[in-house]
Amino acid sequence: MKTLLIKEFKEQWRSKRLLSSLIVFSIFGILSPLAARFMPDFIANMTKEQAINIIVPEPVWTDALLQYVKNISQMCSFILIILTMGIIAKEKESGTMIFLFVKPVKRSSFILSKFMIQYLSAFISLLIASSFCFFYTYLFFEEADIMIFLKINAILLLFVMFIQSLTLFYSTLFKSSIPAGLLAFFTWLISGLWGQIKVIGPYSPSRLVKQSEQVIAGATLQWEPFATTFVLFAVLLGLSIWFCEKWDTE
Amino acid sequence: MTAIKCENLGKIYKNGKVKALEGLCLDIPEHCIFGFLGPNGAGKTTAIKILCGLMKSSSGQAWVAGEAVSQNSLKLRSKIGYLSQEPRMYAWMTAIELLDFVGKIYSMPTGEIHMRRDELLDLSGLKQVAKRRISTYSGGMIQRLGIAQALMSKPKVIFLDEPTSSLDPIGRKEVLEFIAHLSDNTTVFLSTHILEDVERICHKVGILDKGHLLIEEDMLALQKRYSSNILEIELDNPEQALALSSWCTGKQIGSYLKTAHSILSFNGNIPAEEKRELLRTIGELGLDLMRYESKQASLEDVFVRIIEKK
Repeated sequence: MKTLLIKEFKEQWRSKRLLSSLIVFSIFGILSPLAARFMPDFIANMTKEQAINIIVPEPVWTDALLQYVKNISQMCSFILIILTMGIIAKEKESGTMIFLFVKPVKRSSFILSKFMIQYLSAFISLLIASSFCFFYTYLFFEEADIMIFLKINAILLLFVMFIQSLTLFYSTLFKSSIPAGLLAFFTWLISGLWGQIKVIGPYSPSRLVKQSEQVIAGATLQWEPFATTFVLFAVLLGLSIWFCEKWDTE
Repeated sequence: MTAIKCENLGKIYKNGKVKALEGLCLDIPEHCIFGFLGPNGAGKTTAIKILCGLMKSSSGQAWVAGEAVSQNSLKLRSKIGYLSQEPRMYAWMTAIELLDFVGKIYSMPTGEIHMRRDELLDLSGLKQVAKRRISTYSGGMIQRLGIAQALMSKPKVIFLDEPTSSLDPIGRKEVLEFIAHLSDNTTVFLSTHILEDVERICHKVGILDKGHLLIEEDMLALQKRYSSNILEIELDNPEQALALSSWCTGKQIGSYLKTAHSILSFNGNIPAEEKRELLRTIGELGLDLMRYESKQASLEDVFVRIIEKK
């Protein structure tokens, strides 16, 4: 297992997937407080020339956090799907999966190593992004609550891990990364729609984003999206292992 | 001791229409280089994938290195090495990294990994390029690295699926020489459709066609059994060959085999009287004789005869 984890991490690094993820997350980590701080000035300047008077409230540090939550849950999640969709499918397509499976490697260990390194990659990316975000928020607004930062990042980590689990599951099913990516994207959209349905909506993993906003607003958290996300982690991992065990080289 | 044993191994693909393998029975002793011959689509790769535990068989059973063959068996896979038809390895690794990775997968101690890795890099002639990424290697280098990684754990049996099919003549020669040295320590199961390769290095041969094993025999015994002189007559052009072939029809001269372009081939030990008659006829018909040669049957001739007889 340790050998597979090291190989997987090295592959993430050499293929520049980890680097891409770090860069994208960092950009949004920096951009979020920047946008929150300067967007009102920018809008005011633009409308001044057109003689329109718009009153924009003075931005506060929580605006930077709200912007950060939106960016990570939307843009970064989309990029993560692209970076993750070929992780297993490409091993099938290129034949390296056969190279590995003819050796004494447990298929469950193979899948587990993929999931774990993707989670680690998301954790590192989020750690860097949140560090940038915290630094610039403090720089521009001269205040920021580290506990709130930690809480929303923990929730966002769960959300991006859900997106990764979903993409890895589809990547196990297909021999090509494109259908895996497309299906993950559509399921992500569907989970967003699920979150809008009255009775079952609170159980949607997409509601985790709402929970981050609740943390910023100082409101009480709902347990439902957390429970569903943890159940889905187990289900998606279990199904990925099951499909991989059943995979025939025919 | 038997290294590979198959009893009525069969494979029907999922749609139920294609019988890739039927009733395959094999008995291959240890330290043997076994040539698994057959035209494309004969079922060679299917048989290898089943024996390596990569694919389920539809019927029958098999044992490799004393282990019952079953899909995903870790015990089986710890005793074998495998090189696929088009070796695919992690192109982002260097040869050193790949061999170390393979050694660790087999839980070999670090010291042993380094020793074995250096030995195999030396043996495969890749020492000079061992620190280069595999993505920069030529086809021959990848093939040799593929064999080296398959040998890393000192497997009892190594399966090589068409190891020379994509190589140029120099690469092919290098790989064959490499394989020829392996039988001291391991049993080699070599699948190929290149008869010359089998003739050069194999001790035993099996011929597979359309999923059926037509023959399994020692190389020398096979050549002896099918050995016969082949008489080849080359004429100036195909029309002349056709004229002589028409004359031969109905005559009992050895056993008439075939006409290809301007060459007529006869099989069997032809009596001197019949040879004289042939030559006389060539003269009488005014044909231009370019070559008249009596030679030993090659494995190719044996292969063609076995396949055609079937």
